[in-house]
Amino acid sequence: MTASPPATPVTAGARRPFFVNLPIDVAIMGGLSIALYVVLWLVNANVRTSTVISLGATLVWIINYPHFSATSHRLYRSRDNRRQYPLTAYLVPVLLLIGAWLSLQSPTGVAPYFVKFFQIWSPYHFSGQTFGIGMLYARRAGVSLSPIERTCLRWFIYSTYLSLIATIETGVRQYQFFGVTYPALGIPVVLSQIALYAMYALGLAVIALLIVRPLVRGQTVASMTLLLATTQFVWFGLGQRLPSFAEFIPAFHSLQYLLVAWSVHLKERLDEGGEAGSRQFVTAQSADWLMTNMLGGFALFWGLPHAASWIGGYDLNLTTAVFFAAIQIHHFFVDGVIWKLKNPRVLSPLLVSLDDLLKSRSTAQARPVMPGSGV
Amino acid sequence: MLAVVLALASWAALSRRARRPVRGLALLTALVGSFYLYLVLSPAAPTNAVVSIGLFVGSAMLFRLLSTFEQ
Repeated sequence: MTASPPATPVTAGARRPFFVNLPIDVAIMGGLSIALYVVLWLVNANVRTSTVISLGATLVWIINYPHFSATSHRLYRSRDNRRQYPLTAYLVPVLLLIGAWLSLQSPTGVAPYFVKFFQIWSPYHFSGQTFGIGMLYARRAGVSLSPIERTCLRWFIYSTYLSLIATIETGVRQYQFFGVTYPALGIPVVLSQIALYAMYALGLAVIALLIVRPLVRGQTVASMTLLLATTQFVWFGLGQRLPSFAEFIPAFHSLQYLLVAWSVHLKERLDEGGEAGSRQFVTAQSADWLMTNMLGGFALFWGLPHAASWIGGYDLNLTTAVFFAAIQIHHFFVDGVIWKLKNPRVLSPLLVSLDDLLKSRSTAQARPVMPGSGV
Repeated sequence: MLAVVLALASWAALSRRARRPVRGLALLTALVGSFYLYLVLSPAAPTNAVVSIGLFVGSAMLFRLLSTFEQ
């Protein structure tokens, strides 16, 4: 892979509140989640029926797994990224392979805790994405959150995580992940109640600071940011009471991610090729990117467990549980480094919109004419 | 436990200007040490509130620290 060329900066000052447009961004960032929750709640669908399970199992191939592949694709296709994050690119996978190998050697001693570690980390990762994309939308809308507003929003989002974990890890019970049984932490009930009250208190503070105060002052409300925070509350605060809904939460999280990653990928390809944006470019690149990531997801989530089972003679359920955990922990690491808004090389493509991709001029056309350059 | 404390102490002692991979290595050492603690202490957690709260809070703090990995 070649080093990334300098990106055509997205013009400062021009507002691009959405990646695609209002309806699509709202639907993907939370509208679909909330609508599905309301429907399932109204029909009282609190059981994971076979329809729900098979629909969930289908969605993982076209949404969940490609979202993991998109992260790896973004890290490993760019020499710049690999050079910038050598530990994440090379050392972390080695450590995780060692963890996976130890788990396969000790299916009841190590594997349950390897899986559990990932299960506790996963909703934390969801929270980080919710906050990150929320801040991105605030920036896109031209809303600057004060430090107290940011802190309050961050704490509310992470409080949903703490409340979720404190609730599902209460008492003496066991969970299963592809046949690997692991125990709950046995957190005292009183702690889960404190976490629940803290979440509601922080939610009220977010309403006061991010909705009521701007409205009173006649300022813009960061609507998309609030949609993301609300969605997180629906996922972790309400959704866990509806198992039929909880089945789809990872797909909704992945869908949010895919929209952002797709948009950034197209912008970077546009800059790399120095070509003009067009419908043909967007269609061709999108199909190529989606196919790559579907195949990548298949290789990661079907190929690795089957290969390990076939080569090592391990039980397929065990290799599936262990490699699912390892791949997802690697994803948490990669995600933590490649999307930092503080990095201008990352931020600029994150502010692009579909309109930019369809109508932008080529780099050559966009280059200013210098006196005496003969251009 | 000592390995985790030492790794976190060296991560904190290294200034932000220290070479990023060195700070990253300190965090990875803390992660490996924490996972070992997790492995050893988890079986006792369901019957010991102090251990379960310690693992719960410790995990959240570790994930927070890891979000600064290679930054």
